[in-house]
Amino acid sequence: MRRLPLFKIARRNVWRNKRRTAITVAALASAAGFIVWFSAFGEGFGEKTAEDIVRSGLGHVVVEPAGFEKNPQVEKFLRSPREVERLVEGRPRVQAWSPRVEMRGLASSPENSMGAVIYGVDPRREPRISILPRRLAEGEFFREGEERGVILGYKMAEVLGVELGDMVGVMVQNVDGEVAAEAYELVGLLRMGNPAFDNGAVLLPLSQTQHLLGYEEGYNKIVILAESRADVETIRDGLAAEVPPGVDVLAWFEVSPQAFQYYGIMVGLLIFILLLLIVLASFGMTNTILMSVLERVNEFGVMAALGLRPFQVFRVILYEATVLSALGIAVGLLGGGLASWINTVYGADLGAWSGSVGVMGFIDPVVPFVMRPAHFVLGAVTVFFIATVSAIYPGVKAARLRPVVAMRRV
Amino acid sequence: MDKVVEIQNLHKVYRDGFDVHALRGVDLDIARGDFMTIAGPSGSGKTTLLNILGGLDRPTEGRVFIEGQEVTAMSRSELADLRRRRLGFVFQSFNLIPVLTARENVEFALILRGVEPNRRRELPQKVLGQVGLDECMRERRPFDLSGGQQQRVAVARAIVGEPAVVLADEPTANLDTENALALLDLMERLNEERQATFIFSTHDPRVMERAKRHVMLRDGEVVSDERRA
Repeated sequence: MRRLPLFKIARRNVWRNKRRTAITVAALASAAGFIVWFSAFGEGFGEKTAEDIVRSGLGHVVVEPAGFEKNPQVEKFLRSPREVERLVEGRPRVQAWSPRVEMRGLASSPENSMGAVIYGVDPRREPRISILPRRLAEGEFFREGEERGVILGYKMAEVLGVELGDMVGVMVQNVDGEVAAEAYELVGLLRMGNPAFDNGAVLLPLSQTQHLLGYEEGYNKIVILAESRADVETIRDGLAAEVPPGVDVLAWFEVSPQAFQYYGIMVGLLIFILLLLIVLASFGMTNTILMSVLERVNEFGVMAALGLRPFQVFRVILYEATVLSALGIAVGLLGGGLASWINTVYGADLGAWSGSVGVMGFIDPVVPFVMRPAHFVLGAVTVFFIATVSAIYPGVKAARLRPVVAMRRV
Repeated sequence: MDKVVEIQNLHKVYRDGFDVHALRGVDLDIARGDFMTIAGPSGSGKTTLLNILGGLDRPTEGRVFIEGQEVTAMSRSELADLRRRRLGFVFQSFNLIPVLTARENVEFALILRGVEPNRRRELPQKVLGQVGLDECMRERRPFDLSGGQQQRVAVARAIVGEPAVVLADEPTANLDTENALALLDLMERLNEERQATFIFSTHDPRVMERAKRHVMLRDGEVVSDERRA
């Protein structure tokens, strides 16, 4: 069997210019490492965005009056919620649930007044479905059985010029179309790191909002936390088939499509960066391989003179690129994997961009990375692709050399 | 005469702004076992003739046959096949593959010919022994060998596959007298033992003294063709 030592020649050629090889391998390793690192970041960013939005009170699944999401009018509420509660309570894959009232209104102090989103929360159930009770900068959350007081976003409190113990007025339009207002003692300041909450949230005990709006026993949302995000659609579809007419069951990504869109944005950004990386790295790599071919024109001429076919000459170049990419992939995956692992354990603090991060729904600017085998495959495949594509032009050039001309070159 | 090479009305014109006639109607028959020189001053066309004989270049006109096969009608791929199966090359500047050891360089030619693995392992050692390369030098790469040693390896590579014709372009040009004479001894012996045809392009008198036949080119034409008694 004839087996030309083309790979051996390629492997040894790679080590002829150690400095160039080191630089090329470093470039390829950087590309592979960056892809692994950035993929883990993207995955972590997406996960965190979604989870933070869910845990900030949105929940995984929401049961609410039909059309409330698009048009949240005061008269839309679950008048007899016990029937729906029975469907949710003890349901498989449901970790916890809580009733909620959400309504637009006005918060005011003697100094100032401003628009607000008023959340009526169940002091007993809310801690099981959201992190709101744990995000108080000052004061304390409502206690079960002591349903009094109001909690404001801390920036809203600054604008209103109120401190703990001060009275805050809350004004809404009630179910009869009349203006209803009450004054409550400020018992806590909420600090979520999310402007929507910090600038505009007013938390009241559920019973207070029911009284204010004239809902009696009713409310306008049941917020459900699933055991896992993978269970969301099962719960949604199961409930949707059982709830009475006039009730909607929505998944978190339907209620807050922007959170779902962050995934798309991250994937798009990843693809864009990958393409940019491929183009830039391919140019650099092509140049490096071309230089190495041009330095060895005479050798390729000799090989051709000895009887090596053009495609075999091409294979030598392709193998050299393969060896370089294998080294780059090995180093890059190791480095990128290590960097990602560190960020998996300690997270990446995006505090410097906290303003924009806050807008995107983050509560904590530390993003823990999420590593998956697919990230390593992506890094390896991309770098192998870069190296292979980059070898084509120099390889064709070497293969097309005429031995008689090539051997004249020294 | 058992013709191994037949050259008919060979012309080569280089067109580079103006025409340069490197060969002007060369006709030549070369017999198996010939040990001949193609000599002539610089620009006489000897390297061009050798390149066309070796399938490295194409003529503008005329035909070349090697063992009855028309070289001038072959595709690039067929020429590559011809070079690896029928021809051996010895170049002025040795032209060994720098990343392969002396033994691997010789073995490379055998692999190209499709020689089976057992013979591929034996033959290089045998031929490198015949060209007088010490065993300790055989696993060295070309840059660790002297010019004379490299040229011995190049000769071993050229003859190991027992080609019909060995084409040697100024093989002694970069060698001192001692090495040049040793190399000529070696090629002469191989010519006698194996009936290999050697065609030298040279103006080295040391080579011309040993050759059995001299072809003289001038301005692309054969001006003399003499056999030594």
